[in-house]
Amino acid sequence: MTNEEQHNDFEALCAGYVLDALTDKENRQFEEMLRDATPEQIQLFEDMMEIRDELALASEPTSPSLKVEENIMAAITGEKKKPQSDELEVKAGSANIIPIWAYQAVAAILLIASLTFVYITFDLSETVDTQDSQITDLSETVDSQQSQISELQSQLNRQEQLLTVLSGREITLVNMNGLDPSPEGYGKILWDPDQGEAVLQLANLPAPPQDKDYQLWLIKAGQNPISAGVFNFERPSTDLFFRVEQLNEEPSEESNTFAVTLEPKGGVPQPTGDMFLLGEQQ
Amino acid sequence: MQRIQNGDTTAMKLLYNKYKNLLFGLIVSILKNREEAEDCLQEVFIQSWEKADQFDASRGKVYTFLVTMARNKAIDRTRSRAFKDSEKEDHIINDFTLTLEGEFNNPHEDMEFAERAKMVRNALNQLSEKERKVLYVSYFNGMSQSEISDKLEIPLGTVKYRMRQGMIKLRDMLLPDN
Repeated sequence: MTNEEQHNDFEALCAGYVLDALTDKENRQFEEMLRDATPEQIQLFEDMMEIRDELALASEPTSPSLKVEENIMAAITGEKKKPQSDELEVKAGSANIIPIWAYQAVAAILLIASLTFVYITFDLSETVDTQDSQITDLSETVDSQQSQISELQSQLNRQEQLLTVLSGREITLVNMNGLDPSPEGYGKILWDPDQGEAVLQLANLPAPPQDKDYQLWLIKAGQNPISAGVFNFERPSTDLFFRVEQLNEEPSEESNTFAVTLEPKGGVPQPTGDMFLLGEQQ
Repeated sequence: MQRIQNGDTTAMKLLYNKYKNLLFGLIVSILKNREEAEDCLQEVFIQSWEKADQFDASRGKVYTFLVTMARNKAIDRTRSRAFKDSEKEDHIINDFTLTLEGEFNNPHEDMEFAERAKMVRNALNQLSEKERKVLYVSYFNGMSQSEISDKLEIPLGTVKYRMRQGMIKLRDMLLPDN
């Protein structure tokens, strides 16, 4: 193949790659070409990615309805409802009507009324203080419950994803054991090759540094590792489940190995970092 | 975006108002269904709030971050079984909606996008209709080259050639200095 043909081949694969329109085999072929690419070819690759993103501007800008913004803001602020202030309002008492002709009686009545007023005010003040305190407690309870609801929702989503994979006709389970950087770590892959879906469990791994992600790899016999996605979490745990969306691969009949490595944020085409977990399909 | 990473809801509101029309237009172009598109747009912004810490300014622009997420989510929906069931087969093949007078008319909102959009649309108009169609189907329908070949009933080699030619021409027109 001449240099010009190679360049044309690179251009054709590059256009398909940035538009995510290639087969898996072609994707790998292009990623290999990219590793040995000239600065000119790398520039072309970056330009084509920019052009792809600019294509969004070709669609006609359209206004969504106002409820979308309301829903988004409600979702991110936790939809806190203001306490019903009218519950706290103290109803004004009926005005005392003092007959003009009863001045003499007024003094006595005023005295009694004043004493009564002082007593009622004191009592109401205590009631308002108590209710303020109750509202503060309720508000904290609501915040706490909203946080629990968010967490439960998140757990439910994870479980739904897990069930989707488990409902597959033939599920493959691969156990991964911890290697030197984190020997106490372990993980599992539940893989449904028919649907191209999988669930990854990571346990006892340290949270990745801010500039790193964990990356999952499928290594089929005699082939280069295939990236199956990047994963991130803030706190180590034993029940971290992730949906694997990039495992649309035919399993090898000889052997299928899974590995988890620590890579620069966003992942890399081929593994470069420390391997934390490794396991082969039995 | 840094303010959003720090949990600033006002910044989120500003981000939404800057990008809502652009992203909604993109999602509607993919899903062809306003209600579904609004749901998808909502998901994009809620996720961008939840995953703001994953945005790394040194690796890309906010525009790219949001456009990529919006396109991926919309295309994922078109691949869902429920969505396919509700779609008519021929409905998804279309051409770019080339409007030079869209809703990019809010001086505070979209001036930056309006200029760029005009350039992109002009450049797309310079392509042949066949090249434009291949790029459209790939970008807005998320189809692979072989799927495009089947759908448009043209040889796979022709799809690859038109895709390459289209992208190279756009690059020459939109990024001439490179």
